[in-house]
Amino acid sequence: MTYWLINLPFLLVAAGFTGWGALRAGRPGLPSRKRFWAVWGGTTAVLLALTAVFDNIMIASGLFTYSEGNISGIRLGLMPVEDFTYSLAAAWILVPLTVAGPGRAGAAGAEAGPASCEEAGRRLGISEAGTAATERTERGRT
Amino acid sequence: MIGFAYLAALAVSAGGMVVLDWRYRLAFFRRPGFSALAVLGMLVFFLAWDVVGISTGIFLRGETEFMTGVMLGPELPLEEPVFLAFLAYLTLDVAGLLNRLGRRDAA
Repeated sequence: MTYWLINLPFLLVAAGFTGWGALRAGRPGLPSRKRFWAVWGGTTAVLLALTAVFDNIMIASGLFTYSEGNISGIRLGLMPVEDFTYSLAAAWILVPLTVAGPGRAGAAGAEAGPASCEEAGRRLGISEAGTAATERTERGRT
Repeated sequence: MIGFAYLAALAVSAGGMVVLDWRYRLAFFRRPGFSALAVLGMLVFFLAWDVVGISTGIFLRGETEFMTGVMLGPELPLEEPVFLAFLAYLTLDVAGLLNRLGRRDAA
């Protein structure tokens, strides 16, 4: 039983969360799919960079170790590359929940972004005007 | 005292996260209930992963003087869930910060 083998089901669950969030993104009251992937990619990159630095420090400090026979042997410094999977899972699960999870529409009221304009528009029954305004803002952004 | 070094490092790091969270309202200072559930859920997920790794003999506690020595289970030191919760909180803060930057661009 290798480290990669036990990681696989956990990573698949995390990827499932990401797929779910990507499908939800772009719905009324939720951020666009483009922004979803931007936050997802950014968070993943930041966590991988931090992991590369701090996991090495933690292993060098002797906080934990691995049985050699079970890891791939590919290391970045002291760190087995498999250790990246914990950070990947954290980003792949928590970004979808944060950006596109349930309760976002309610939380959008605290934002002055286009998403909340659209949400407010829909609530007031002026979805046409609200959507048009949002589209203008979306175009202006890119 | 050196046995508390790892816990102290985690506490200092978490303190920095709380300050950022407070200043920019990233996670707990924005949606406390959601953030608590997210960290708790992520912690359970990570611990299940740890238990699989430990029971298959992949993860071993290191020989170090920087930990308290309090064990929650075989090869599972007290510090591990603290670190895992910290990792979840860090992720929430980073995601919250990038999401916030996205909102600013949109405004």
